[in-house]
Amino acid sequence: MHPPSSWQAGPGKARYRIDGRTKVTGGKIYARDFRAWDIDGWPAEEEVVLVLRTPFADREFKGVDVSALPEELRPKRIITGEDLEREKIAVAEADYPEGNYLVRPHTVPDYLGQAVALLYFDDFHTMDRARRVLRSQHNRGLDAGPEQPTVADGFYQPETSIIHAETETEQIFSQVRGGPVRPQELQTERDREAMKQVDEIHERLNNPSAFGWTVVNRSFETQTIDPMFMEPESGLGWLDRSSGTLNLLIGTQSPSYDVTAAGELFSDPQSKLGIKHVHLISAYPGGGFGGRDTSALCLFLALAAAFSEKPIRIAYDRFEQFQAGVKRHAGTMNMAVAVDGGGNLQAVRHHIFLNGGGRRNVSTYVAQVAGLDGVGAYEVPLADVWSRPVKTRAQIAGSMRGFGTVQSLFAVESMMDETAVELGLDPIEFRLRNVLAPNQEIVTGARNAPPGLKEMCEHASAHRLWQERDRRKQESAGTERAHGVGFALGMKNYGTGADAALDEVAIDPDGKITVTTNVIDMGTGTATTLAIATAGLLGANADEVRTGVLEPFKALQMVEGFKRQEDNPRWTPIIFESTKAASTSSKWVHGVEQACAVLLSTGLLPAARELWGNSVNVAATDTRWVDGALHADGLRAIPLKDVARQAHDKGHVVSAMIHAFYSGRWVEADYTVGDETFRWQIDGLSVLRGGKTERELVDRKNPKLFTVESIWEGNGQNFGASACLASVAVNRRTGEVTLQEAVHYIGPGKVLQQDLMEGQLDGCFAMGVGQALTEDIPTFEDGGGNGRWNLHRYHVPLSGDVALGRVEKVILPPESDDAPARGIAEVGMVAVAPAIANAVAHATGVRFRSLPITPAKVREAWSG
Amino acid sequence: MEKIDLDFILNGERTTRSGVHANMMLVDFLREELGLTGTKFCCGIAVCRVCTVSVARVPGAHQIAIRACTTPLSDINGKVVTTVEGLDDDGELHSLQQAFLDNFAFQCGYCCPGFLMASYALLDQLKRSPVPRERVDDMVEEAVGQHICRCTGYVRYHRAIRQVILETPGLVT
Repeated sequence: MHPPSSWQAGPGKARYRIDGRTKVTGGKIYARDFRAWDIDGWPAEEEVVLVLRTPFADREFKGVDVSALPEELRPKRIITGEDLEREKIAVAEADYPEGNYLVRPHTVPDYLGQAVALLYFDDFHTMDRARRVLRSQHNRGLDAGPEQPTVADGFYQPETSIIHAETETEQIFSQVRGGPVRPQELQTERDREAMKQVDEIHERLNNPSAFGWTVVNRSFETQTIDPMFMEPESGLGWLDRSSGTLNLLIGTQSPSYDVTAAGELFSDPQSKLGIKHVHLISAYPGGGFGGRDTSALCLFLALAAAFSEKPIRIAYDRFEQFQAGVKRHAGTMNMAVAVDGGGNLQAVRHHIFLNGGGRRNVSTYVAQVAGLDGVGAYEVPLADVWSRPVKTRAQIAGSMRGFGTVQSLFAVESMMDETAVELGLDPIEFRLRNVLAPNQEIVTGARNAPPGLKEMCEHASAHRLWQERDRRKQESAGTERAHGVGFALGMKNYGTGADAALDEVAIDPDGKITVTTNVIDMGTGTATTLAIATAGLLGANADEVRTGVLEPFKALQMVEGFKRQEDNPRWTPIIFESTKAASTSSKWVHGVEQACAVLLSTGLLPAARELWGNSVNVAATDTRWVDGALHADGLRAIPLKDVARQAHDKGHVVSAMIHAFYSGRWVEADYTVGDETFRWQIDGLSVLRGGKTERELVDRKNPKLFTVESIWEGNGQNFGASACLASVAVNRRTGEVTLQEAVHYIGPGKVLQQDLMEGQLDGCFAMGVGQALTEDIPTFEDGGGNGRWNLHRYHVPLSGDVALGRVEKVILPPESDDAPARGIAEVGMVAVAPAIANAVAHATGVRFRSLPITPAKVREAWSG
Repeated sequence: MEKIDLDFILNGERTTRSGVHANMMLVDFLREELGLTGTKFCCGIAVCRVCTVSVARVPGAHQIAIRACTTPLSDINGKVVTTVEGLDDDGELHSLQQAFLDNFAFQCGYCCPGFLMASYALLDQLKRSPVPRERVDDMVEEAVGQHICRCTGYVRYHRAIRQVILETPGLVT
């Protein structure tokens, strides 16, 4: 047995995760663990609600049919779309399912898995038994009409076009020179100019011999994927009618958007439900991977609570989670690559179709990123990338780790191998001839290429696995298993190009530091990373990190909108952001560090100066923290708790709350606190002084802001590099692909916490294996929407699938002393699946252009 | 529906309940009736193993890892059940819990109790039947190789379990 120990291992270091002890002892931490009686101020008695969903979208839903349920399992009441209509339920914001939250009886559902009714039960067991009975019914408890033709597919708007044209000496057309274009719409002069470039690119691709080019045309497909976070979505809701407050408890990646969306449901002036406020309690999510970003669960909790006098609880089981949860878009990629006689890429046409299902959700953003990464990590003079989110009757697809890049990069990196084969070049050598140098222009025209791409190629090229690939392949000829080695290079954005962070750092009179933030920790280690981020400026780790918090930040009184409000010191382009895009390390850590800078300069340092004697004017840069005490040359060391006590006693700043906005650089401005003015990289500030209860807003001055145009032109995306070298064995009889060994490359820049970073990489690798080999779910009627999918049919990789202990990590050192901490939780995933696919192609001599590469596909290819 | 009088030992304490449904699953009883939410629910069909708890026929008997999501209460009547809440000793963590922390073994942590309890049963097995050092990896794979973790890629879970086995006297010949 081990005695209780602290998670801390000294300032800036973690012995283990700050949330670790609770998780390892089975403490209540996930939304699924909480009941109404666990929450202070809530009534103890709760109702349990089943969200009934449709397995069809090709016939009329006539109504709920619970006749299969014995009397004791019948719901107490049923809420349908007609009830929502009667109560004037409005449409929540666009990223959530837009309206028709419960399919109205006698209409055809829009998509598979769409909710049709809320069924209320007195207790969990009755609900659970009822849902099992209903699931066993052919129509899952729905009365259905005859089959009818399905609605034709369409496209969600806006689509993404990235047109790039350059000569050896100048950029002729690019996204950063004037913003996005929609050439197919031909609405502006710029659209027409873009279309001209597109026509020219196509003309050249159609006449390669005129230019001495080799052109390779191929199509690729990627499958629908379930994020398969381990905790099926669950939550609580309670409408406190006495105050008009709708309370939600949920494990979400997007608490701010959930609150906004839930509130918007009741925004119709004719609504009689009387909901004035939405209060959200954020639980630690049991995994996320994007699947909890703008998920609709918050809407169903809100609706279920609005139609109940008691707190309500929704707890999906895994079948329901497969039926209700957002998916990774299935992708179809049509690609043409032109190469000159020297093996240099000359042109790429990449048309990407991503199946977004029956609601837009974040599909347009996913398509945007798929396009952004649509030519991979290579210099391409002419590019026509067109990325289109498709509206179908499939389940909703949305955010998931890899966010569009997984699909487009599978095509790009397969094409690089196929083209190398056509040219008779070594695939890595072909990449090296075209790979981007650090800060080189990418397809958008921005100088955003990350460091490390070339080094990864060179390292892989010299690696034993690559050097021996042909010999090992030959040796495997005639044996039971064919061996092959494949490589893929990844380049992916982290952050969104317009990122916002909200952080508060406060110190109590005993020197205890608390970080409060709107970001959440879905397992990535965010809470731990933010806890150790205070050490640099405050000499100590935070003792507590409160994640997913929203309401205190109203004190900043920020207003948002992309149109610049020059004279409004509260204006910012974006107030809130979901926890996504692997931005924790780079964005919220910055926010915490800036809040620490405010706290140090306006709270702790003035207090220390008083303790040193008022005549002493020590600058922050002249101080340092040693063993929890503030040191300055020639002065006595003062323990943090003494400084904190003085700050509280003398009314200095004891809490700094900030908003920060980033798009390639941080907004920065001057702030005057007391009689001192400082310049910080934040755009909103509120402070609290010792002994006070009211916060003070500090107006920014001389800000360096953005405009819509400058955001586009600056193209504030950050990119990271990754790569994978994979060795596989393919069983000639069964077609089974087994991963033998791998090398996994990442360029993280500054590492904030080594264990957390490496853990993310391990997870990226396993998820990439699933994408390549094991995970698959039909996109339409036979898929998750039918309510019959679970882990007996959906194969998440196990430890035996991921070459455990045989994956070498190559972590590139920071390229400079001031290298940024790069987001790696998505970047690290994207090269894995294409590397495995390339390895399988090497082993089998057959190119598999559709993921996953199942034994059946291999057998079929070999037998054919 | 058949009802039984339940009488078993849970985390060292006798637990009785009259008139419970015999086919209620153990995971639901723990989470819904007793409020012991440390045992997690994920697939409900005994595939992912997050709901793993350890069961012994009588006190002192072999610990066996079972899936609580498909184990009806009738099957555990009279037996000895240990869940993640029963691993620590008045706040002093079990060596497995400490190793999971020290190795940053889990991320979201939802599958952590299942890995812990399967490893707990493995330690009991090795205590009774030590294995040669070179078989440790196979034993770990056998114990937790079917457990699903979506976050970690399994690397640090296996490392932590192996570390405890090698550092605990008497488990390896």
